[in-house]
Amino acid sequence: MLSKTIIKKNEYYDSVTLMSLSSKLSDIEGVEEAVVAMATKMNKELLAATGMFTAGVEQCGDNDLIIAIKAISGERYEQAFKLVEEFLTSTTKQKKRKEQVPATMTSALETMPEANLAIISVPGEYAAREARTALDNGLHVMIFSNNVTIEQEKALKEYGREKNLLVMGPDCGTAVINNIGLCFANKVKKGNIGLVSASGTGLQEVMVLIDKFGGTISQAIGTGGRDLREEIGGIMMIQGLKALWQDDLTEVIVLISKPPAKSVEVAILSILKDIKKPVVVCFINGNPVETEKVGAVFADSLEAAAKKAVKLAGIKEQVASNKEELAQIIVAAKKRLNKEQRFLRGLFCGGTLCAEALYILRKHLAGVKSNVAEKGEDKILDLTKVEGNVLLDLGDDQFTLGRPHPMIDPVVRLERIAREANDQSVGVILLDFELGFGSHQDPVGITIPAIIKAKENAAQAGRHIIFIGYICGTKQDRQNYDEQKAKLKAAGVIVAASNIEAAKIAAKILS
Amino acid sequence: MNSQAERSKRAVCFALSLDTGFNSFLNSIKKEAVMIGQVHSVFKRVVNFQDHNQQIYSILQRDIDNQPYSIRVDQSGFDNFLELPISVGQAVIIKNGSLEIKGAFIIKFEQRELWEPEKLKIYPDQTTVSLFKKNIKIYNKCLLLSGVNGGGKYYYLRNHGHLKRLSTPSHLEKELDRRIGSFLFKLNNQAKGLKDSILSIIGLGNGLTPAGDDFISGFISVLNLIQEPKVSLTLQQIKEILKNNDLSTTELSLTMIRASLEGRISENLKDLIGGLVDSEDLHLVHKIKQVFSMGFSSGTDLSIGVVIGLMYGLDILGKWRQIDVIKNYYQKK
Repeated sequence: MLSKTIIKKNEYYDSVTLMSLSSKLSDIEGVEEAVVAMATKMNKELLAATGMFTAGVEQCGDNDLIIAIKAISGERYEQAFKLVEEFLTSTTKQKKRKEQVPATMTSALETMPEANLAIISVPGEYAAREARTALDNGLHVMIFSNNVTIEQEKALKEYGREKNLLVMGPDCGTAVINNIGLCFANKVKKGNIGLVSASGTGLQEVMVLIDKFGGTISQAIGTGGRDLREEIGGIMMIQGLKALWQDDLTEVIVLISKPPAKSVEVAILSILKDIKKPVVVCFINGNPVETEKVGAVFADSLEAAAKKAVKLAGIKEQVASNKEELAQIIVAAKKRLNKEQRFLRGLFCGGTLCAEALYILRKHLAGVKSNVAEKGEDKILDLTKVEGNVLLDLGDDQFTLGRPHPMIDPVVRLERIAREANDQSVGVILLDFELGFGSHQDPVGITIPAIIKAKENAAQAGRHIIFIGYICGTKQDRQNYDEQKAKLKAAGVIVAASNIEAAKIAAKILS
Repeated sequence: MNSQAERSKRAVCFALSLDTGFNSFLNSIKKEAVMIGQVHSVFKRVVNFQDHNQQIYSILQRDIDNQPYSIRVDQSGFDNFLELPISVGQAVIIKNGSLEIKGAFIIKFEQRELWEPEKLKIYPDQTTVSLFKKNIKIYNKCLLLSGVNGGGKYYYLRNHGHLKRLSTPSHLEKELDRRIGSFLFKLNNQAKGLKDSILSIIGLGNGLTPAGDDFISGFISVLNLIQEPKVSLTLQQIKEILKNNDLSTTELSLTMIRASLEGRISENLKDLIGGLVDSEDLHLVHKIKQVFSMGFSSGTDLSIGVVIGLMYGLDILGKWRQIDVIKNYYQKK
């Protein structure tokens, strides 16, 4: 065992930097303990108590930063040391580099006058003002920020429509424009299917499945989750639809959303009558009748939307059926559960994936509750009392305050896996993993120890927990899809081919 | 692209609000064009500077709440102090009635407003106790779901969260649990060793304001508000210990502890305390989360100090009603 300290004299880093470094060091295999703290007397005592006190620490003052690392070997220590240097250097470099980063929309436009799209990611109260400036300057806008009022949203979208510019958002996390992924997006092949979606992970799921089925994407436009509400009137869904209608590359159009307000649905469907390109309408949990009346194709799930779009694009679906293999896996899994293990816990990073799973599972399992449910009796209000079949969107504000979204840092879910697996009534845990730009660099890798630990704990208590995982990603994504899948399989996780398939597997095991 | 000099010309801020500590400091400066301090540290939304008496003052962006010894500024035109050419040790001067960090930015004071909140008074009667007991259930849920781990959360959930199982604590969390427990035992029982138990918490924890300091600061902040002589004497004991001993902690944390000893409190923390003893506070969850969002784990630890302070001050935790605190205090003197 090797214990050494790195000392940074009179250096201040904000707490988030220090905590992130501490967490990254602890993640290194072979690093037994890592403490990143200011050199106060009590912290020095703590180091002494954990056997991490070194000669250099004695000389440190209260305002010096100590990074103490206990590693199993010199090699592991060197690996950790390198990470510290890289991490803190990059933080310092970022500080210097930031001097050249434009601070306002005006200075950004001076830097890049040829830009035609602005991504706004500032606190909500300032987002509308910055978006307005961008629109004033003739830029399309993607507003990543939330907490923009609905009145501001409406005003921006009306202004955008007047200027024939897109206003994607607010709270828009995913778009692909001219094959460039914005915010959370997957790397997909460029092609002829255009998407407009009021849901972020819904959009990701459809583009990923289209890619998997052999299809290609022209544009993927996000509208923000409130666009199809009565107050907004679907302004951006309609704008997006018209943009894709006029886009030469796009041959098939897919619309994705929860069922819109009735008046908005009527407005959208009336436009569809005139569009000469084939359109797939995926309103999850929606009614197909009105859609089919105007000649569009209805899809009741994200997977169905992807399949139908690929078919309309004239491409033969390129995925081999795994039905027999799955049937065997389900039979085997059912046998391993005891009588008490009757319930499911879905721990989702993607909100729409959670909503879609809820829509499927409530048809097959009794009393499924969720924090994304809209109906009174299905809505789980007290998150400290989770009982029965429950699906949780861990990206909801209730879980993410003061923390990164679980797609960026899945720590919040790791804690939850341990908690739910300890419940004797739980038989199946359902997990989603999002790959692509913006997402964690190894979402499966960071989750595997929690899965293994949960299984071990359950085994000690005489139970076997079934984990079902779905990876929302493409083979082109930076996280290496195949490696992610292999890691899940190696940990004994059943890997589904789509979100809906994951939900159906869970239902079959428990019903 | 403009030159740096041109960009810095645009970095003019207008003071929005300042607390009485910052205001007194400004009023004490009688000369023009004098150096009043040096930059201590720079973060994205905060610049700290230290005066000649080693007191730290903070310049905060407008989306941060009012804080002790701080000024909030409208920084239209930039949103990141790290983008400005500011370095540690740089001179802070007062010139032409404005505060200036040369070459970086100027703060104009024309429209400043003094933030001087009315002092909250908490009376430990049955009504307050029953309101607090109702509200604490909401706090507990918020802490469980949104509180940041790594500091006092483990202590709180283990001792007051009524949870059977908790995730494995870090060494630091276990130490904080033990030391906070020891501090409260000594306080409740007027036992010997109170001084050592308080000092063993100060400086313990990660970050620029260690978790132990945040806890103590929140605890003191509440005791300052409780209108009960026995509680005031307890507070006096704590104040004397903290004032008469060298505290081994960071300069930023020392400033925070000193401010709480003086009864200075941040806007969000005051709102939280008010909410915890108020009836029908529909915004309590928001107030709790506002405090949780302070720093990385600081807000969580401050709030735990506040809640434990209320439990002590309202005599839910302990037994100051049964112990002759006054007699003990004067015997020790």
